[in-house]
Amino acid sequence: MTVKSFNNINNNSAFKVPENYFDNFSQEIETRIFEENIKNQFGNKNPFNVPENYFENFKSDILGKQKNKFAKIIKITRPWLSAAAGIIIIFTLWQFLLTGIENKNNYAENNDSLKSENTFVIANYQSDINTIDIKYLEPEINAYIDEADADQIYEDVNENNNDTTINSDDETVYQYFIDYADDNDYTELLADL
Amino acid sequence: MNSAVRENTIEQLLSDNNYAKAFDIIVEQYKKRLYWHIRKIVLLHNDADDVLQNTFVKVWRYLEGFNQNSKIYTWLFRIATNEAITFINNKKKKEEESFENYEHYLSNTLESDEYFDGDNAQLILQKAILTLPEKQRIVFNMKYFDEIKYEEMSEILETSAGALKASYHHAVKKIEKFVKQY
Repeated sequence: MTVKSFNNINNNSAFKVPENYFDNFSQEIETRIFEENIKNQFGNKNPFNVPENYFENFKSDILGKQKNKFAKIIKITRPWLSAAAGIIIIFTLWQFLLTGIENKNNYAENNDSLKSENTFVIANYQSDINTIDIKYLEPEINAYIDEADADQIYEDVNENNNDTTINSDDETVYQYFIDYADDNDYTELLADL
Repeated sequence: MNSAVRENTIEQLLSDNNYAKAFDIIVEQYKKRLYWHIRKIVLLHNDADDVLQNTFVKVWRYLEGFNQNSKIYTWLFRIATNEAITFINNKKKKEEESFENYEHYLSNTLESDEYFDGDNAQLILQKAILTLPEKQRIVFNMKYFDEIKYEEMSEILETSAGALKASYHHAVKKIEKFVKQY
């Protein structure tokens, strides 16, 4: 009777163990023994160190290196970028002019609400044109670089950039431009156009 | 800032498309942990510095496409691990071209490395670790030095916890055997 009750308790136990727990148990114990032997002999303290202020300077270092790469690449790609951006801006202005003429005609039809709306657009456009983000021109620049002599660009970048080498098979100059440029770089670039 | 708050802040910034700010926080918060993870794989400081920079360049490049289903911490460690492995494989190729065994080269260089301040015993341990296959070496470092749980390691290395336990078991067994010579 006592044995039967005990068996019942065991079978109805609410406790379970993870799958294969007992199968892997001996391996886990062995691992612990080896690990403790090694720790007793060698400890697990980090034996490496870094140059003084390495972590404090790390952020500025990474940005500095990227900025240098960017400056070199800008120098090389500027003719393409200038031309591409120039074409886009002229095209945009032309479109804008056409829109303006069309709106002027609308205005002639005494559409007062349209007149005020267009005045607002013009004001915004004029204030934005000096700070327009060249990121908006990405597809056009990319297409322009693709059409240019790609081999010559890669050759120039590799020749002028001591920090890194790019490969025409897996990286485009444009990708480098995008990776290494920050907002200030875009603004500076636009100011130079 | 604890790790949960940190992850939430980064996730919020990413949801707001504020990638530049998110990147700044990621670099500040994770540069040390990623560095030490990488350093234990590549051993030499200059190599670790290169790999850490490559890691953050990759992080910046792919941050916009980061899938928030996984933790940022896991994602970063996965990139760092892959970058370190790629770096080692490239170095191995170069060393093989010059007929020198990469592990042998590392072992010798470590002895004279000014950024290795371990005593002789720790040098022996590092040499023992260098005898391990690449994957076992990474698992051993993550468990032995950094005490990372198997579940976390499993997400980073994309390997089952069971397989990682087996790897660690083989690693400690081999190391124990190696160091018995000394």
